[in-house]
Amino acid sequence: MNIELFVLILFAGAILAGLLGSLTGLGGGAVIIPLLTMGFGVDMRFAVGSALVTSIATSSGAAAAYIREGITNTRIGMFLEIATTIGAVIGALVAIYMPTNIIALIFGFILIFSAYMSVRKKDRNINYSKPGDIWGVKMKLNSSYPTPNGLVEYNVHRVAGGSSLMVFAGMISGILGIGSGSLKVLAMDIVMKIPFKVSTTTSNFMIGVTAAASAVIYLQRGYIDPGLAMPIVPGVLLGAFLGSKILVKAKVGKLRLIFSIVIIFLAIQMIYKGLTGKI
Amino acid sequence: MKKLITQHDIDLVIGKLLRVGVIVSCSITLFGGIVYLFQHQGPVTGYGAVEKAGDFRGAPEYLRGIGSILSRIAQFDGAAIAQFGIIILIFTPVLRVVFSLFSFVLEKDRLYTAITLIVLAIIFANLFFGLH
Repeated sequence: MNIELFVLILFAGAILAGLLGSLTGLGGGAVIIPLLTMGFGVDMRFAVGSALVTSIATSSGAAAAYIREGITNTRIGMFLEIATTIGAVIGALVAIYMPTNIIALIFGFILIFSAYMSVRKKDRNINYSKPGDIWGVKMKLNSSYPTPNGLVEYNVHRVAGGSSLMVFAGMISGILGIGSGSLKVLAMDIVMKIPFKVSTTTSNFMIGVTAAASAVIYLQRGYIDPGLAMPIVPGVLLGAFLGSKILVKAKVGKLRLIFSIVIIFLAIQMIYKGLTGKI
Repeated sequence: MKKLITQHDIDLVIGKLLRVGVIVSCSITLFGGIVYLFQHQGPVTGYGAVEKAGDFRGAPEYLRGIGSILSRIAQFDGAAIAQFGIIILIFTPVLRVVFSLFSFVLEKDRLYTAITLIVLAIIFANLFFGLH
């Protein structure tokens, strides 16, 4: 294929990936990997490198909007980033020696899990102010956030469990180059019982930092190629921006379900390719 | 006593910083990409899947370190310009951590000043891990 055409198609594909990633809440990186590997036959390592750069772009772009709302808990984010960045370094080092079909398998399973997390029913009647873990007090993690019914206080639970899960989330992000936001939300929302809104915005804050931790290793290993990143990063950003406009206007419940099915279909294909070694 | 700089002020600055970082890096990468397209013609090569990790060639050697990227930018190499934009993008969230560090220092929060320094140390330790 001619370079100009390749870049143009990649750009269009990246817009779609950004749109899909933003509407499902999975982030742009997750759709980039199947697009590059299965759509264009690009090497998994290049795909992972491109996804990583994409995750940084979309999370930084979204964070700018989140910060103004004052929901992000910087202390929780920073505290847990010790765990995610350590995980990310380990993950990036492991990824260098990992066969690409294993990476494809892991990616498929994480993608299915993420799609499930994005459509699952959320329990809205949780009393967040119940006394929590002693470490929540010691590490100053407990806080409050604004809701339509005034400030809601919350206390953090199971800090050790949440942190260990964060090391795992960091490793996955280091291996796959995706933000693995769903794992971060799992750790914060379900394990540590942090309100969902605080979890998602804080997780977004952490994605960029976690990705930056493995990006340097990727760069030095040659996983990040400007020929691929150049059409993909602006494309995904544009798609994510369009997605955020749609999210404000349309009722997304059904839309999200349909796109999640698309994602699961992609995931199954990745798992199949991983098992048959054709990736 | 009225605080001169509030948490909210710092948050707003961080928010702006992130947006500017993304826009600047994206523009540089796009510009580099256009230059790259003028400098490279013909079929796409070198991205195809390889089976063994050892066979993976990756991006050209000069695009893997900041020194060689800068010297190629001086020669107006499109790929180097695009890669430079990507490096700015990578460092945008790191800069955000640095800003958080300032805000914890201003609040005289020793615990979180230490935690933030640990996170920064892990990120910068990578500069050594990634070497062959």
